Amino acid sequence: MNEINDEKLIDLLSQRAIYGLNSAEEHDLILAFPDWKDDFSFDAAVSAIDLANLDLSEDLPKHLQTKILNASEEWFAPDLQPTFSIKPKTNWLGFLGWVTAAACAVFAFSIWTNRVEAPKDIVKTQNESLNVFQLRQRLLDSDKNILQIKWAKGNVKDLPEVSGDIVWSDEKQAGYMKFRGLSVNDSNKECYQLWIFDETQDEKTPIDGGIFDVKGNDEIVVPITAKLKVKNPKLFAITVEKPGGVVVSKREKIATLAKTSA
Amino acid sequence: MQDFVDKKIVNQTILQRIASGDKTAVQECLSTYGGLVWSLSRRMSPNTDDAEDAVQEIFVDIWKNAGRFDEAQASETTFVSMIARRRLIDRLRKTNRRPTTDSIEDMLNEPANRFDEKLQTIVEAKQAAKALLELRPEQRQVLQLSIYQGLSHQEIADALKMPIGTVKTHARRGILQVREILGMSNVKEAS
Repeated sequence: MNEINDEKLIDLLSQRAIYGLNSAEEHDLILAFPDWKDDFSFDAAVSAIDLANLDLSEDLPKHLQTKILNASEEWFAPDLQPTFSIKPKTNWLGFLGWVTAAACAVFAFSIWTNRVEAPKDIVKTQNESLNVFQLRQRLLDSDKNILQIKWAKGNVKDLPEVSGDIVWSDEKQAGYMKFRGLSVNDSNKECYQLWIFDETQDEKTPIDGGIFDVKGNDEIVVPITAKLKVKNPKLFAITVEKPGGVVVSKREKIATLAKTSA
Repeated sequence: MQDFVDKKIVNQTILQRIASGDKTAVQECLSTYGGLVWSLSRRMSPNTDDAEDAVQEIFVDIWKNAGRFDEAQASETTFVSMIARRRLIDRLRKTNRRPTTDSIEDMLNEPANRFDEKLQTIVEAKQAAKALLELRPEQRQVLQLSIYQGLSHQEIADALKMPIGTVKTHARRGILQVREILGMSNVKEAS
């Protein structure tokens, strides 16, 4: 039996199972308990409790069944994108060739034209003694195999060049994105969303790394909130999406990306 | 040889078949879990339109994660409801909205053993209902208000006139106890 004795850990896991955690809380969990091996027994227990009270008298409406079945045709077709009426606009891997060249230019002539400011909800953390900048540094210091890659230009011409980097630890399953120059977005119209391409997922279904807004002009650090376990990531891409983010990106607006040299 | 292949397919769970690219399993997945996902979505979404969007996202999540399902660690039903809950919570957090629920007074007046009167065809639901009956009444009430009604710890504290620390303790101990009764202490995410 996997005994957990730490009260704070149990609190966080209970909270995660019932309400979910925000980015700062997720990172608090990961960093405050580096030796804890993730398990989902709390989520499973809460799900079972939920099932005990669920009214199952209603079936899934027919029109939704049809929609989902139609979408599944796309999902299981080898050459199509898995989504609801979303078609690919950009081939990620085809995009990588010029990305490498563009990256050199971007970082050799990095011009800080549009300072951005960290959203307050991202900076706030349960661990009051550390802000996200310090948490990022602590992560960097704690994992000698940590991945650190600079941002390169995306595919949107009118977006300014972005500097900064992304750091990711497979061991800790945690990471941070640092930006300077990422344009302020109108959160009523759009948001930024991170996608992680790793060896566990097919290229057409990258891992959702979380959404965020840029509200000001200072340098920001944003924690990564990967929805799945990430293993040996190869590419990180930031797309511009509708508020709240999307399940599958159309990949029309890639604000910036970071690719490993491997 | 064909018999062997057929037997292998029969012995696979729905999610294992989806993970291996068997399109026919999708219909079965919808028949088996459509009602469950729909019921969760209806309860945890602010309105029907939102619930419909959520259901579609959840089934994409299920297909994406089907390969991670390990029947030795959790039942398929639990796995599907975990994925559904995670997506629904995520949607609520992103939009900063909450589902429409009864008034707090109505919630507090609901019978404590409401779950016992429901039609429960799911094994886990029956087990969880039994496990809930073993909890202290205040633990059960806190879990019902937080999980079923989506009230925050602070809202529960205000409604029950209870210190927030006590509410958290009831929630924590209640979940730990249910987790133990259901033998879920070893459920780990498949890597």
